Amino acid sequence: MKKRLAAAVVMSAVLTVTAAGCGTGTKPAPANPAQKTDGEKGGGAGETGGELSILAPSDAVNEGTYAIIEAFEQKYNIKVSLELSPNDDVLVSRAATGDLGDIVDWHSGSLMLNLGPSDNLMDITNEKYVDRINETYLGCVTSDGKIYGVPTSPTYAGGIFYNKQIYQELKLEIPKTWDEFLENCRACKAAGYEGLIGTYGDPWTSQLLLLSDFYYVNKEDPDFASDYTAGKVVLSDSPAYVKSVEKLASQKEVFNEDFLSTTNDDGWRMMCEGAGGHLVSRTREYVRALEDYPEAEDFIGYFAVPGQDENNMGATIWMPHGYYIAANAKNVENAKLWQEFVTTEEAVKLYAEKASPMGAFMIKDIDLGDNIRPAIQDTMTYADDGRISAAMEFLCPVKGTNMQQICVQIGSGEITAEEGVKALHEDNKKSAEQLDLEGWK
Amino acid sequence: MRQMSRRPKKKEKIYRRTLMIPAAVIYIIIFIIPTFSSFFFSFTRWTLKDWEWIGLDNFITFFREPSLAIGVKNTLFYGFVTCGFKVVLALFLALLLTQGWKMEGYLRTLIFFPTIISTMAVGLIFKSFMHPSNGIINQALSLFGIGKVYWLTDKRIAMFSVAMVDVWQGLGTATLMYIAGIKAIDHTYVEAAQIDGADVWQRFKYITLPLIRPAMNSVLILSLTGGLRNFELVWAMTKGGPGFTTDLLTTVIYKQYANGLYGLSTAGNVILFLLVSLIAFPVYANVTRKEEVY
Repeated sequence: MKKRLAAAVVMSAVLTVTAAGCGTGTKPAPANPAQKTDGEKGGGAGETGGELSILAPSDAVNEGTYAIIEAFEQKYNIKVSLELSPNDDVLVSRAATGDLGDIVDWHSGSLMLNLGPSDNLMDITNEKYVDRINETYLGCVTSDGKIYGVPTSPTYAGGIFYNKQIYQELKLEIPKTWDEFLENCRACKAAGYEGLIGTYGDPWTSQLLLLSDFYYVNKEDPDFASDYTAGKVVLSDSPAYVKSVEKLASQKEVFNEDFLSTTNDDGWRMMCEGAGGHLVSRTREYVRALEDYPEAEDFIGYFAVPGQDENNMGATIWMPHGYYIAANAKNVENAKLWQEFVTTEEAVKLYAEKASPMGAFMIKDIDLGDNIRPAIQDTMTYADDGRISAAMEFLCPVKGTNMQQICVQIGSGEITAEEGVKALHEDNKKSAEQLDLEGWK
Repeated sequence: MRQMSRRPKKKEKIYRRTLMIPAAVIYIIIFIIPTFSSFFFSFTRWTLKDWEWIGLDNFITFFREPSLAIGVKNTLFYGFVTCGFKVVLALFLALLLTQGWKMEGYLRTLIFFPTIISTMAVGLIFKSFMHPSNGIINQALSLFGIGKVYWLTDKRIAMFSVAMVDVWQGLGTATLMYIAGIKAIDHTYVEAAQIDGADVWQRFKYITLPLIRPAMNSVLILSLTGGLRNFELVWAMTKGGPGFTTDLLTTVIYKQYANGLYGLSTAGNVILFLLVSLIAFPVYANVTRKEEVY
């Protein structure tokens, strides 16, 4: 009898301890606004101090971000801890489980919905600093009528980067149509350079050509994005979209030999070393590549993806990531201070100094100064002429999850353009159903 | 006084059963309940907030879409190819390493070494080896005049290349298991056979092979189930690419989950569960039936 009793007691003790041990495990995040300040600080915000945690994808931060963090720390005496994540999927999971810290740096546009803003992010519609932000951008960080984010960086343009020296040597001119562009690629290839550098070793780059071509889809039918969201049309209903996919398929003949194994970094290295004539990319990647190869600035230029009509060439623009506040942030006041700071001219200037702008900032009344790289100036000519369009993901929340793999299949010739359009639409359908969109079921 | 003959039976039984309860509780919570709940959720489209019953739609999508169905096909290929190679090559290596050579100990350590390295590291290293231009495999081949081989990007051989790397890594464990099996064979059988005039091949066929059946079965079952469920190696080497060429069921499941298509991902998991069970159980029953114990 005693033995059984003792065994029962010991067992329940073991069970309880195990259960208790499994229960804990949340990370401590003490907010300490009463931290002692050393000396006096400038700035109008009295006490401040405390901490702030920022969670960002590791390829989203650059020298400009660090400069802003440093200035912020000094101005408000807040300790910023920056956590980088190499993987987007992890951030989505962390948002769903409420493990975002205070500020998270994430995509705007349709991808913002992946974080579940209405549940996991803090609504900042009524904050004063929201007035300083460009309306087009606000449209991209709004969900269900509520605004959530401030821009982290400038917009960036997608298109084709070309080697000016090779163009001079081979007496080539900036192509005004896609066929002219293919001609130029062939000329480069014949001269011993790579015609078009493909970087399918990083599959996400395969979709850049398709996405950067959206200007033509939008120009042809400005209602296409909203019609598509409402499920009224399919992708093959837009001739311009079909043409974009055909462009994808036509790259293969001028690609470098190892395009399936070449990574984005490799591709930019080849470009900056002068081995290639053209590279499809975005100014965001351009700026990062120049951090390693500053001399390449002199001979790399940009032009938008050419269309069919030589009088109508336009660029597609990506809206920058946003800084969002987590709904369960511990340091809410500091987080709002951060968001406000990032929209001031002071912060923007710091960013532009260190990171060299990759496009226009989405904040009103900012004077950028002269530190603009040549390729970026090329992109700005399109903006000045009004020949720009936001990328599709900012006008339409439907973006299939396998787009990059399907683009790799199209670009490598595994499937035809026609099959590709169908596959892309089927892929979009799954996402639309998951998002519970009307008109798609 | 202890009467161990009459009463204890009931006492012992209860004692044993109650000691099993903690482990059983943990097993039920961590394995049984999620397995059944995933069976349920695979018939729905769910988010972290709510779910919607859609019947067999997830499964139909899985088999109808080429990008998903290829996962099933590749998984079967991968499982059986790696298993086949491991079972045969490891036996050969084990026989070599039980001949009584001087360097045996060192060689066995060498063979076992790849198993200790993290699979992700192996994957990344071989990925760089297999680069078409800069990888050392192609550079070595070019010395012999063999042209560029696109190990990981040629549709026809990509899956096979990854499978070969898996075999390279898995040979260590398999060889060790075989060596244990071979060493367990009673030497008197071999001596008796030699006296009777059996040559090497006959000794192998009639003594070694039947008696290492248990070891062979272990290698077979473990390689098969492990191969069918492999994820890290493929992910490190190709992430299922280019396109969907080297997607296994496991990478498909991961990608669907990562993209928020939870219902589809759960359905994939159920399919994987059924696939492994339907293959592993019959194979296990079949081969263990043939085990002979002298």
